[in-house]
Amino acid sequence: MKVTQGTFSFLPDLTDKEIRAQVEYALAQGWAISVEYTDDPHPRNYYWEMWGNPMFDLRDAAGAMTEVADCRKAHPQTYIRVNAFDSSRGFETTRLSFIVNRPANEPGFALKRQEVGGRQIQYTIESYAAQKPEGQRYE
Amino acid sequence: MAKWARRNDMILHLHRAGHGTYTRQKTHGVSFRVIAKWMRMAGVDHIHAGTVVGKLEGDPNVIKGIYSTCRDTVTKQNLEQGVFFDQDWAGLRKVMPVASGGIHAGQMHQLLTYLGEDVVLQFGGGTIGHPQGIQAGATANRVALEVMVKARNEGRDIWNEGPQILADAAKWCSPLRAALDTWKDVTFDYASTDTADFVPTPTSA
Amino acid sequence: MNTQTTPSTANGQSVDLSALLADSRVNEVLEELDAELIGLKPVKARIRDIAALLLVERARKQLGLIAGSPSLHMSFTGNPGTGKTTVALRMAQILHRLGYVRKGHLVAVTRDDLVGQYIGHTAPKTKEILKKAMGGVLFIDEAYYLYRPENERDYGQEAIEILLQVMENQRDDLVVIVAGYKDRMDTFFRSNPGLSSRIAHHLDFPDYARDELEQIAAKMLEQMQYRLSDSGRDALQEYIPLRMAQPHFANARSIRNALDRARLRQASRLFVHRGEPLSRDQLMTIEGEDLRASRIFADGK
Repeated sequence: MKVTQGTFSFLPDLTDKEIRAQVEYALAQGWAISVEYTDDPHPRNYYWEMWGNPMFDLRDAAGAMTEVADCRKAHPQTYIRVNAFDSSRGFETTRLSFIVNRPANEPGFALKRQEVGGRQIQYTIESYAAQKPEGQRYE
Repeated sequence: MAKWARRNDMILHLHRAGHGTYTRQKTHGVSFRVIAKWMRMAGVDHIHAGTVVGKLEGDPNVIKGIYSTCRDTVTKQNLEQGVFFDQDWAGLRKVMPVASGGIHAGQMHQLLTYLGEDVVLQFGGGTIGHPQGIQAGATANRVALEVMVKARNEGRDIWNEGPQILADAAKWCSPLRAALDTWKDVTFDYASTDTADFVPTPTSA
Repeated sequence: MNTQTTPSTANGQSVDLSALLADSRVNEVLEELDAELIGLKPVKARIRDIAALLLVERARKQLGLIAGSPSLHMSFTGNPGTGKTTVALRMAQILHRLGYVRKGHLVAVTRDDLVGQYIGHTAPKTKEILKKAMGGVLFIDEAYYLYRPENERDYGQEAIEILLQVMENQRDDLVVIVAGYKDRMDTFFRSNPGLSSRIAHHLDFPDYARDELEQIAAKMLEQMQYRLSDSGRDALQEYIPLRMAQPHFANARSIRNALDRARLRQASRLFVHRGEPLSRDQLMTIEGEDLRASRIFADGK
């Protein structure tokens, strides 16, 4: 099951050329680029591992593309995303974030039911991948 | 209410059913720009602010004025949009404008051009009315939005190429293809009665 | 943006170099370079050669001939104040207009910007600078400081290795210009053959002649909206050869410093008579005494 998080996740995976075009757009807006990766695909897992520091003052997408390539080489079987951060007043937040790498096999999520007070049931989801320890989830 | 909503982990969503009775009258009532500003100050999170292209009327300029009132940190005077003076919003939180009412995937290029990306696009009939079901309807809308944002960021002229961009995406996305077929003839194009109380002098350009 | 070049190129028959040249607007930069920089004849000639080469490469590419992405890394050698940084700035523009770098900005750094303080600090630091420079030109001033043979564990070596890797593998992404004194650069290249072999263009910046320095001084004063009185002109003409004979003479930079100090003295001189009204002329004029108060003249006696 293809994980759909962030922008462009309903589209076919972006090619490097397409990723570069989006990074160029972000740089043209004056946003800072960062690369992050994780092997926990839970949708509420906001804090992914940082791949190096965020890149301020980039003028060209080549710098970010180098980092994406390096991160893919080091962590081929993880989710990798590119974030663009807008520091301007009133935003001061991520303006664009999209996945640029995903594991070859994405097992999807299990629905869990928990019986609580009365006859209530609470639902939650758990990624099948996350049942294994970190670092071994997509081997 | 805004305080209660924050305390109770709720989003305060303002729907404006019936506002036309007092916001579009030239003889009495209050412009919706004023309502939007008032509600931004009151701490509302979402506010229905018009779509330009949907089934409910809206003049592009007036809608822009309302959206600026919701989203800007500094709004400059713009008479055509009904903004009569400069406004510095300082640290005042923004309001997420909501566009709803008769919008569908086929208008995505217009929606993105008029409203930008910081907006909640509510496709009601445009999702539930999908021939393949609600999930397919949601997929169609999301795919349409993403291809359009992607194309705009790549520097394409979405206003003119929009229909082609959607048609290309429909080749690999059957829910989008069905959506475009279903709603292809649905447009609402009529002159708005809601105007900015300002008539620009035509310049001989 | 740029209009496509002559239609005749489309059918693979011929290519019009002058149209390509006009199209790239490189001439404007070359003319600016001529107008802006006094002297430097050999450097300007080399830059024209390089521009011509790149233009021809582009023409060859249009006609489908082999045009391997040429190595563009350069070395600028010369004494301080001979215009290396200024030329690097223009070179970035030229490369940009010819389409060899995408953005055309210049990132000027020295050893301190590339080399870290402790183990593991250098690589991220160097990479960060390289990423910033991508799409443009990286200018490494006094590059020989990267290499310290007396300390074999010096982190400079690590920076050089990363640099080499990017210079080789990402030629399309950035152009590196290393700069410094001629003799020390030669030593540096001898001990780093890897670097030397990746640098295609060596430009040597000659020292300025006396009359060129006079012209430079005149140009600087004009830009600052000052002028020399007759006595000031005489003083400057005497000053320049005296300063040239001094140690640490830094060509145009020394001239700029001398003029800055003269402005300081002019200001003090005018300040003494602050009761009286000052004319525009007085505010603009540097007198002989403003220059003659320099330590250079005292030493000469």
